[in-house]
Amino acid sequence: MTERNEGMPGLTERSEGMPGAATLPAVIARRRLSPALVLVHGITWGRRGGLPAFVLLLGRPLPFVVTVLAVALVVGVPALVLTWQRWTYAVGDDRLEVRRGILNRSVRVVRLDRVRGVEVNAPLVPRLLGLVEVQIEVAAGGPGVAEVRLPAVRRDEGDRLRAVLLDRAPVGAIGDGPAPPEANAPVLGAGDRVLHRSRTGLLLAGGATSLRYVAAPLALGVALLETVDDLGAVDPRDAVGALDGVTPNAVGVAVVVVLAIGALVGLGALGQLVTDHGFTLTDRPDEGRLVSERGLLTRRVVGLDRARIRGVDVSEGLLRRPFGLVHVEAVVGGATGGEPGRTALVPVARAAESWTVAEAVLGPLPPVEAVRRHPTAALSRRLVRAVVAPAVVAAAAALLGFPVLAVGAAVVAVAGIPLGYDRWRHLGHATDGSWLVVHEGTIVHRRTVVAADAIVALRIVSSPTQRRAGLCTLHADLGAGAGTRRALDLSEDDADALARALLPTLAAAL
Amino acid sequence: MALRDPTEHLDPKVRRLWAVQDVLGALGVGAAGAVLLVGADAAGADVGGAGVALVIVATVAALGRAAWAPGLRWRHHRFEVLDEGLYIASGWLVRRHHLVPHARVQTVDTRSDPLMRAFGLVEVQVRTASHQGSVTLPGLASDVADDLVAVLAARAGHDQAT
Repeated sequence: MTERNEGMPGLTERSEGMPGAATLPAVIARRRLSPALVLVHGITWGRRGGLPAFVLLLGRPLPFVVTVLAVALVVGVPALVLTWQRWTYAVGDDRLEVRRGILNRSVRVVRLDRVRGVEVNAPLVPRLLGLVEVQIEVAAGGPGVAEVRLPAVRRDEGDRLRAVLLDRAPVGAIGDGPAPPEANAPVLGAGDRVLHRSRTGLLLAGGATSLRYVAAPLALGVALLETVDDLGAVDPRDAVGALDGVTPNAVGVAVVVVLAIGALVGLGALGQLVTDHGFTLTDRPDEGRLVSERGLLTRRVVGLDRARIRGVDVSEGLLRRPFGLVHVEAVVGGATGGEPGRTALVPVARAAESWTVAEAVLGPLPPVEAVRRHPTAALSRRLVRAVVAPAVVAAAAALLGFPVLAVGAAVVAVAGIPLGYDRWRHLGHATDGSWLVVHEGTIVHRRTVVAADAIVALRIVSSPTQRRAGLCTLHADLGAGAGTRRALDLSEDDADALARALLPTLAAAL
Repeated sequence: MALRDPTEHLDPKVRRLWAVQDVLGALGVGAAGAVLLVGADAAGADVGGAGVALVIVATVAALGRAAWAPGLRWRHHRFEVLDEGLYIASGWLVRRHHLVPHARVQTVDTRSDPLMRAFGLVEVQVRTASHQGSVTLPGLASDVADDLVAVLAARAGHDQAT
């Protein structure tokens, strides 16, 4: 039996009474978080409990309300103080130890060589108090287990923790030296290199074209109608009926539409600026990692082990295409802060510049010209997929006498023709033996590059209709949370060629 | 140059195991349908002939599957241990070919339930760091499975598995 399971390595958690823990050799001696934790946590609790409490207490007699609030204070404040008092951490030569808990006490011990990443974030409340939140990612299975959180430490202490936890080797060098003068910006060490720095203009342009808020007005409208409905004050049908008397004014409607579109575009631009303002991607060869920093209100610092990077996704949205703007995410194995398996390398930039960044991270990649398009048999499949289903709905609706539905479905079916064509046109793949490149997508065109040696397993899958057309789909499983990437509807010969190129020694026997 | 199919079949007895499982499944479908019909009837809904017919058709279809699907599944579910990895083909409708390098194998498990043991069969699960990249051999004689596990364990390299 090959028991090579990597779950839970180097991380033990036990309840109270751990012998010998006090003798942890101190690189950072046992200490508490900042006392302001009480305030940070108090605000969090208030935010979480505030609304339910408000609903619960609304319309109750005043003495009852006062009693409940008093009990909440009498229990809550000591609980907060105790939480702070009991929450301590210490770093030894080889491990981090975090103890916490009032009733359920826990001691978490993390071997430093199992620390996969340290994020230093500054959410709004801690930031106003000059504090940061430190999140330590651990190579362990299961959500929640994989992360150790220290929600309120001083900014310089956060940076020191990051340095100590990540920079295992020269521990002696990180003593009680003075904190970096400009603690807000990561200090560039010798050999460090900035790979990408975002420009505000491009961020605004990218945000405006991000398509992120296209669904927002719909959602808002539905939510409004539901609210109105829930309140029982107005029947939405009456509201619509009330509009009957209003003469439609073409100019007025146009103004409203233009304003709404403008608001959406502005919202998109603003949203992008808030998340990605001042984005900087730095290569730190000494630490073997990339560090990205971004954000207008909340500064997020994400450290990324180069060894965990399996490839990149380059995405080009519909509205960004005319401007040649793309965004780039790293395909990452192991838990990360953001979306599982991905983390941003370039928020928005021109395609050529982004490709340069991707090559700076990964090394030389197969050129775009090497990408092989997929056969025309795949085009018919895409068109059938995009057109037939809505066409059937349209026909059925027309026969059964639902003219509105029939017209709607017919419009979708007709729109399916260019969409299906675009989807086929963008399909493609390439490999040079070290990298697998696949293209897919219609609204968002995506180019994915993954390292051949990151592929845990290859699957070639063919449905009956694919076989009739001589097509199949090749899936490359990356494992460790990095997901799967696929080449859709390629010819069987191309799939075989890909398999032989990506797993040459294995496939040679076939 | 097309990839050839793997050479080894599962144990032939697995066809009978699948047939029994499919029959049990069909009986389950029939029983669930009957319960639903009786329940609806008791609640005062008009079930009608269509409801009864639907349940009968679903049950017969499931029984039909038990008659011919196991043979097809068996024909297409194959495996082969190559020098560098494990090669598995499966599925008669949607066909899958898996290539798993030995170096990427994390664990090899065997499991069996009472029904499988009645046929003297076990299931071998080969797990990789990717859930989707993991493969199952659902019906091997236990001695064949033991040999396979031993071979895979020996071949699984000491390289990085993820």
